[in-house]
Amino acid sequence: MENTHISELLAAYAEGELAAPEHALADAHLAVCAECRAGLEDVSIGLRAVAELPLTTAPDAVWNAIGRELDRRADRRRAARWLAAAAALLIVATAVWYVRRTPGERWEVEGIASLHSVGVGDWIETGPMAEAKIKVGSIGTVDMTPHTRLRVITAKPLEHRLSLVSGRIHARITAPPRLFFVDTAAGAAVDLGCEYDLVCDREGNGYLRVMQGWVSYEWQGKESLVPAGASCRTRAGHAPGTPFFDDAPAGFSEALARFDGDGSALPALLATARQRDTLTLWHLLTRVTTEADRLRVFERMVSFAPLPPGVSRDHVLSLDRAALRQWREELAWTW
Amino acid sequence: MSKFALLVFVISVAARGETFSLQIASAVASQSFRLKSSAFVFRSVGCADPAKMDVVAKAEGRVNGQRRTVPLKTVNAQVPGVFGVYREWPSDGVWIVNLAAKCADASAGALVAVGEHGPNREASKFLPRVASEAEIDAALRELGAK
Repeated sequence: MENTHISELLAAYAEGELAAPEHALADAHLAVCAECRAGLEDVSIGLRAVAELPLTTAPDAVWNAIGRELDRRADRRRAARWLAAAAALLIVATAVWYVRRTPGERWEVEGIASLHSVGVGDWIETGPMAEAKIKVGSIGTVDMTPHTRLRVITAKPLEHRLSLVSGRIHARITAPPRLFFVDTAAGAAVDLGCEYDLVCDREGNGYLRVMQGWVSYEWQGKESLVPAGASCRTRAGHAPGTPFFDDAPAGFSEALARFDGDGSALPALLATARQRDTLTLWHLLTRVTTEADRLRVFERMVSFAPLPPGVSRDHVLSLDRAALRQWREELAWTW
Repeated sequence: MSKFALLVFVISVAARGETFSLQIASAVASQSFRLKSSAFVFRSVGCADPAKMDVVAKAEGRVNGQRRTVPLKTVNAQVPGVFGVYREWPSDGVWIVNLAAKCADASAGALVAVGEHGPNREASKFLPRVASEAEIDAALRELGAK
């Protein structure tokens, strides 16, 4: 079994329906097969989503309407198509209604004696010595360090949202992107499939540090895309800080702090940048305020990595979104 | 990467006649949340049809003086020709990942040194063919000496 993928068994495995010997063999295979582990993760996500949908009987009015429509139409093929469309619409409408109607799950909490679970609107606060862990539905965990205060804003299958008032959390999320959000006074951390630390004070000043995957930090339409191994600073009332790799030279990160503060220090930033600091330079393309500065950033970037096929200098300098995205995805291969 | 961008990339590869080789990066380069916990990701350069590329990955190590080999699974990203490699080798001893790839009649190889935070490009070797046993031994000796 170790040499044969077990894709066809994953659903039964996730549902706990395998007999003990098969389950043990599947366990043994999953321990050594990353592809099947990834498959199991996908299957589990799908099963959880399906489990959230209730079995619902269509209202009589819908069936009556379908029946009347069928009577009116002589062409049976067209009627069948209409019926299929109506049924599909009913399913979609039921799913949308359910997701919007659901008041929210309750999430388990460990580490606080008086609090075993939390739901929408609940506060969680750790004391000076206490730590706590929140199991965020079935998509991951959030660890809270001492002196952390947060609130559950949304607890639905398609949106898990916390508000971090102050303190420090460590989030580890296994769900697909954009299902987990943490709001602070300085913006929102949007999970793109990742593990990260988020630290902030009551004003929202702090930082985001990513250990795995990507996080998008967003504020008023402005965005910092932070990959594993990188961080960005957060400041209340300002756009998210420009992301930088944690191993950046001190001169570079100091110059970046100045740039994020008052827009100065661009020459120092460009002079001290390394190849992998194109992460930072890519963000600067949209943050510098003059075309001359944008050109300087662009020229420094192409000195590290050529433009990918299909992306031109004009595309970049005119901030064409698709071209910028394509270049970023190529640059990531050099980080 | 969009299908159009991929098409442009494939055409430009063919037009430039780039040599077939492998490129490694940390997991974030794959843009795939499924591969986020991989030890590293790799892709082909200069392969006109990456979807048909054959790849084999093995962890080659020396533990307490003994040579060990662990076959590794490569996991596809959504983009053809991009794969993730997971850490499935023991933590003790010295290890490298031996990648062997074929694209049509061309071969390429890589001996990838993997650190705590992903691949170490400077300590990795990229070859226009599959690595030989002697090259693997030499790479392990070099890593062990560091």
